[in-house]
Amino acid sequence: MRNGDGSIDALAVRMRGIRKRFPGVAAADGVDFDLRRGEIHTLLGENGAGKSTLMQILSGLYRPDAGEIEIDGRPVAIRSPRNALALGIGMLHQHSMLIPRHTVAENAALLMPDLSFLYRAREIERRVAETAQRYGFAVDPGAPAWQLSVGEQQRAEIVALLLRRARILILDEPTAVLAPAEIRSLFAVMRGLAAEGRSIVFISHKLDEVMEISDRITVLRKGRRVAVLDRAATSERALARLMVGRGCDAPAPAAARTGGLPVVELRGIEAFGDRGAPALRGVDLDLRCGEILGIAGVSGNGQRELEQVLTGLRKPSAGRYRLLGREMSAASPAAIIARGLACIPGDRSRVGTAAGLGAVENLILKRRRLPPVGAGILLRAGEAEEWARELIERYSISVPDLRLPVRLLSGGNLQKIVLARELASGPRALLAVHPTRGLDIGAAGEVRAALLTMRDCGAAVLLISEDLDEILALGDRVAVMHRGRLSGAMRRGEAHRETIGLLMTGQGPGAERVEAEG
Amino acid sequence: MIVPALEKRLQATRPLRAAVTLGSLALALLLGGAVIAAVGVNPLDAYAALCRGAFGTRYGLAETTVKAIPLLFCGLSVSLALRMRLWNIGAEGQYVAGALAASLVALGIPGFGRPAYFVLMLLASFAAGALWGAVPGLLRARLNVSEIITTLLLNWVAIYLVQFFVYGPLRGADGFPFTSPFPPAACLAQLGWGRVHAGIFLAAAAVLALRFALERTVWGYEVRVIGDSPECARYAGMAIGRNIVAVMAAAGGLAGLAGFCQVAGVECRIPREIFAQYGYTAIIVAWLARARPLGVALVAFLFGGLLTGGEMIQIDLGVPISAINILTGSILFFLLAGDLFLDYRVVMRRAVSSRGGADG
Amino acid sequence: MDSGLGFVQAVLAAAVDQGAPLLLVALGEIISERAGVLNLGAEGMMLMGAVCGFAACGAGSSLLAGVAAAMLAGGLFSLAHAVLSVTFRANQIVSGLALSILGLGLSSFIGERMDLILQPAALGFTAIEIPLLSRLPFLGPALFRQNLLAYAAYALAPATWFFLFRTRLGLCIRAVGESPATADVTGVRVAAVRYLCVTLGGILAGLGGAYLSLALSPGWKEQMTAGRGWVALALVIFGAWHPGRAALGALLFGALYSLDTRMQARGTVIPVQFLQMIPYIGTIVFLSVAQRGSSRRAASAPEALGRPYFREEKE
Repeated sequence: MRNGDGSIDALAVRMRGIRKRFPGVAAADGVDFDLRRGEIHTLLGENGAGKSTLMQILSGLYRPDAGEIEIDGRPVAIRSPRNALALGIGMLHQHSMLIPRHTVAENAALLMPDLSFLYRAREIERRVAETAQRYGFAVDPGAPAWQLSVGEQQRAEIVALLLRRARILILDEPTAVLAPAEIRSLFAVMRGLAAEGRSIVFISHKLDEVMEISDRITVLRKGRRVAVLDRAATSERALARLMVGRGCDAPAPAAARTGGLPVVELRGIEAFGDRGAPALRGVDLDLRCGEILGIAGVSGNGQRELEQVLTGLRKPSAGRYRLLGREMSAASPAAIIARGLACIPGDRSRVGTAAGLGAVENLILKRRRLPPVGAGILLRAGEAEEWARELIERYSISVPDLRLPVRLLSGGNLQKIVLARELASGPRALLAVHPTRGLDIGAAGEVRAALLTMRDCGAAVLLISEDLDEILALGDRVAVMHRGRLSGAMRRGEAHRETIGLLMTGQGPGAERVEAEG
Repeated sequence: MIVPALEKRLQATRPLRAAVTLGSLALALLLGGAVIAAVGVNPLDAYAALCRGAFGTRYGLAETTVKAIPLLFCGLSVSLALRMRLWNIGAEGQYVAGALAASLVALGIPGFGRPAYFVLMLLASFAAGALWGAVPGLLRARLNVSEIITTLLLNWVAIYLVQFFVYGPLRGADGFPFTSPFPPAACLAQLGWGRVHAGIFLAAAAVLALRFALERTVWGYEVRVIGDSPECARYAGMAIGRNIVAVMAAAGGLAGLAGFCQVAGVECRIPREIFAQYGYTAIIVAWLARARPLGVALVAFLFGGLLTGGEMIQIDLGVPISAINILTGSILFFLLAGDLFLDYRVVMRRAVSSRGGADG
Repeated sequence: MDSGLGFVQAVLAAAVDQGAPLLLVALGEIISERAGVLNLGAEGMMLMGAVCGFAACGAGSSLLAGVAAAMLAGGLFSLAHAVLSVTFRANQIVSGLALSILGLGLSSFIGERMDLILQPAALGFTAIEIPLLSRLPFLGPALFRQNLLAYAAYALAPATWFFLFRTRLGLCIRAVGESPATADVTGVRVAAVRYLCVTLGGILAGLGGAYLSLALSPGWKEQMTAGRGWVALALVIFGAWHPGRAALGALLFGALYSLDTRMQARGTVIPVQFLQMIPYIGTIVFLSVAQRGSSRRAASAPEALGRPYFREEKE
């Protein structure tokens, strides 16, 4: 049964002073976290707040730079995911870890420590079915994992973890890919597990769900714990405020502009994600000349698919996409580039650049068929190098050797290469996705200045970012992306931090609630 | 407990590359030397004689060149595919297909002059090889079927096809299972230097052409980008599927030219033993040359020398030809092992034991 | 073998005989590839098995010695591939090819050293009749008058199936081949499993080679495999990495190996070479079709095949 008074019993998990630094950013900066036995504890925070890092440390993926962890009152050092499993900690990742070709039973069997030499399929399947039934859901143990729906896969993984006798379960944004009915099922399972004394960490940023299922809530911001609350003692509004904070060190916002002629028009765009689940559920968007439209939102709400639809790498299943007046829903990336859309992609090292090639090759990427670099089928090496050198100088990119593979350059310089290349083509529209992620202050400033310059010259800029400060500073208009839908765009004066925070988590005026849709 | 562990290295410096390569070669030569010593021959004498035989005499150098030519074409073929991360294991079959096509022209259409035969046979062999490469390319581009398997399987189809012709319609007048000699005009001109034939010019042209194509044409640039990062290529508007087919076809065509050179230059007929494993050795050549055209030329030449020298020391010193195969295999073996040190750095670290913690 | 048998029966009998070495190598390769390691050195391992088996048999005057030596040779040889692919994380394709060439050379070398080419085959596996089954109408004389190794080969097919799909170790092997990261997290020792499977593959390939020199055509000839190692690799794909289907495929390929001379003798309309092409073209067609349909998942290669595994020790 649940512990009413946590102070008497030992905590299931106690983390103190956890510090973890990655190059350039302190992901966890002295975080404390307590998990009582038998409770469902939500970990809340924006991306980059530190919740993923904290749980990755608990599940053994990373080792902390400093801090202590106690499990059931005993200090432990969690050295690897295997170690964590042995300690009874099981993590359900956002992306399924099931082996697609194996059956549910075979996947579960892999985790079982007491399996005999012979693999008796029927017996394992029976145990799997029994365990599932105990928590009130059905799973076909003999089905290959790839045939299951996302929700079913999740439940299968939970069963596997249970058969491994996991007593501490970490669920990383499990509801992100579930339909409402499946979310109900999941919550029922979670309550059942908690009732038997297992402890659950629930990571989410969907405030309505958080308020429904949690016993307690820990809010993280910028790598620190800002609050630990009982569910009864707080509200969605309060949580949104805690998550988003005051944000006073934002750069001075430039004067807001009103845009001119429409450059990009999206109407009712729907698209499926990689796993077949709907990612964009009817997006409407207007981007005009001479303005910056900022799209805020937590990663994973369809931003990646939106980027791909705009650049032609993903075909929408419904809706219309007009670029400078021409219908582009079925256009190839080459056609879209030719029409005048440049893109600074979110993944700069895999998509934005060819990491193993040199600076010249990367800078001429979109210029290869055009003069002076391209001449018919030939590539003019001399002109190409000229072109590259000019760009390097204009944008002060630090490149020690033109032949060196660009993956050896710093993140800032790599991004400047992408920026230089995209702007050099004189685009009418620029899509910038997380352009300053992972960059130091100087480089980030240069990138932002470049975006402003583009706008001032009359181009249209679409900025997709998780950095709310950046969006509020640069965006003339701001919209919020949530669960594959775009809120209406607000002018900068109208857009308050708090409102946006709520929109990001699915609340507030203008947000679309996904109620009874399947 | 301190144990060695591997850590990824960002970039291997030139001196390190040289050191590792030399070290691997040294080990391979040691192994080969041991084998030679086991036969009762002094390894140093053997290696010296090998070099002399391959490169030291006029005749030897000529033989080396003759053997290098098909290796070069097939090496270029495999290396072109490798630049786009495709594996052409079918150079053998494409080579045979090219040889067959050239022979069909030579024996099927009598009475042309030398230039006409040259052009027609060249086109025919390139086309046949290209077909043998394009089919796997198409299957990979459209259906994502592994080109490793399809190119391998097509090798046999080519071999059986040639056998059909050689035992059937193209059977020589004397009834033996090889074809009649080609009309003299269809044979490649001999240059008066050993058995070296005009194919050498074709080979040199191929090397330069491929180098030019890769460095100086838009197509070559696209191949390099796709090979390095297909996602970036797609984002930049490059057509990946079409390029896969084009590259596989071009690679097949190059191997087909190897077949043309062999049957028209060396034998002037389809010989009994057409399958000389050039296709498989070429994979090693391309790998050692790191898929660079000039490198392929160099390595092919060295391998040609290895084969020629090997024949010489077989006759002169009684070292069996199999020792050369052992040497080849071990060179590759040790170079592969050495690659580990180029990609990773060995560090000593405290062992991370992944057991421990009580069971819940 | 042909005595008293009709044409079809003779072909069937020869199919079993020719198919056996292919099947042995293919089963070994299936085990290796199911663990995610591609081993293109099959040809070399077969040759090593053939030459060592023949030599040991002659030296020890016992077939058992020959078989044991062949298995040992194949196993040790494949260990080199394991070291390169698993520990040194080398490119598996090139590594396998290197071993093929090494095997070619080494086996010829050993053959010459021991003057094996001139030696008459002192011992060879002879046909054993299975008492009741060989009296079955039509099929009996064809299928059940084979040598001991052939029976062993075809018996190994269901055994391999059982090993891979009904034992705990088999489950771990398949997990390693599909997703080594997942297997690692659950405590499976990826490297050890891969070493084991590659070695088993080598042992079986060596045994397949021994079949050639001790049963099929007793004796030793240079490069006597004549490409059978590569055919076995194609057989693995043809059989979609399933031991049972590989056995059927082995019969098919084996039949085609024997059709060659028989058809020529009988003078048929279709040139025999085109018949010989069928397994290869058929495999390509089969692969292409399989990629499209829903059976794609079942018929495709283990997910992690050919990729070296490096556990990311994040600090």
